Amino acid sequence: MPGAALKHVVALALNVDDAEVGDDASMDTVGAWDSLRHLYVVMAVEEAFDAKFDDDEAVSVTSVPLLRAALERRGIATGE
Amino acid sequence: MNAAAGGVGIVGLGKAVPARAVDNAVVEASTGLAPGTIEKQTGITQRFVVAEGETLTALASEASRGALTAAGAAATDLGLIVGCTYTPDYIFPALACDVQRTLGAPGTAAFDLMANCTAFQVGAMVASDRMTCDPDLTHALVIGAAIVSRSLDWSDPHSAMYFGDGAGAAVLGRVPAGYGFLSHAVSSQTRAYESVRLRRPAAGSAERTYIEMHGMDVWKQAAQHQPAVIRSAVAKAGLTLADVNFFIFHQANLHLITYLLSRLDAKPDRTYTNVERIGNTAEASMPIALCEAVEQGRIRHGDVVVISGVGAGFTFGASVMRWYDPAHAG
Repeated sequence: MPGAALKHVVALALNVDDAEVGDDASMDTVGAWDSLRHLYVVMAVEEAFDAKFDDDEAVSVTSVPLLRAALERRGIATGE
Repeated sequence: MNAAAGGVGIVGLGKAVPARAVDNAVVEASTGLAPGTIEKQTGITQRFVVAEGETLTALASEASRGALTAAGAAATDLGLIVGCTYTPDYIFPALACDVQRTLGAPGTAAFDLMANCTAFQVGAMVASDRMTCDPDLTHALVIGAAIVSRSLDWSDPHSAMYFGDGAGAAVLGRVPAGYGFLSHAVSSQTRAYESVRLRRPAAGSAERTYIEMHGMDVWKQAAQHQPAVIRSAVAKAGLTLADVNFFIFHQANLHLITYLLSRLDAKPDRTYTNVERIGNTAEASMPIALCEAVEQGRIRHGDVVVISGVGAGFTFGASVMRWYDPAHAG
């Protein structure tokens, strides 16, 4: 999914409407973003942006800003 | 491991699960969860639980007899029995001692160890290391068994949705050099020690204690540390992840297994799952899954197989083996 928008990828992984995933969305603000769905968020983001987080980082990127920062550290644009 | 002297590998597997199935509707009713929640969150559709009066020794012995039959071995061939459980019928003596007398293996060394849901892998490591050190040991029996249902508060959704009862067993024997166990790795990360626990009641208290789980910490621990212990075991074997033909994971949650495969760059066809059908059977989950995968022809002679689990504490383990099937050894 080249050029995918990060928030859209997250919304798809959480199976929620795009409108529920704002710029600052996180596990604390999106009800569907629970501990297990987060595994799917990580897998979806890695696939969409052709990125690979390390194991520690993968469990820590629990918000859109943290995901965006992790991708930008790899020089990957998040499409937003 | 002294390859010139041959290897130590699994030569027979057996399993046992209770007859009584409990589907999600029952657990969702007792926990107040909405219909469909358990399958959505875990992939589990049912679990099996013991009836009143059923014992862990009976389940473990049934699985052990199956493993001995598959191995073509007699109970009297066993030089070691390792029981892996947190739910022996008695606080002591050990489950392994009760199985020893039930099977009829007088004199055979027998003891239990506790590493919770990764205990079978740890037990296999201990038994294979013992056999490597002692040439007089021709066969060892490793049992993973648990009656979790008696430790559950069936109104607590954080724990009740996951577990079932069962037993699995493996007979270890001598195999040709280059086959059998190639490496083991175990590490414990104790920051989240309290996150999954079964407390002993305070002295003099009439309190009944149950399994308590903090779900967030559980997945975080497994997601963070289990891939590392697998990579470590594979590297110790002088192999890469691409060399691994098949993974058997502790059957905690279907979503977690999917995630682990992703971390290991492995497709779903390189693993076997039964958590959907029997739930998380704790110490029994890996040997039951391994037994079923072998029975169904998913694991073949010469395959590199990794078994890996995570247990409360948390203890992470992985063992690498090259599968030996005497029927196809040529």
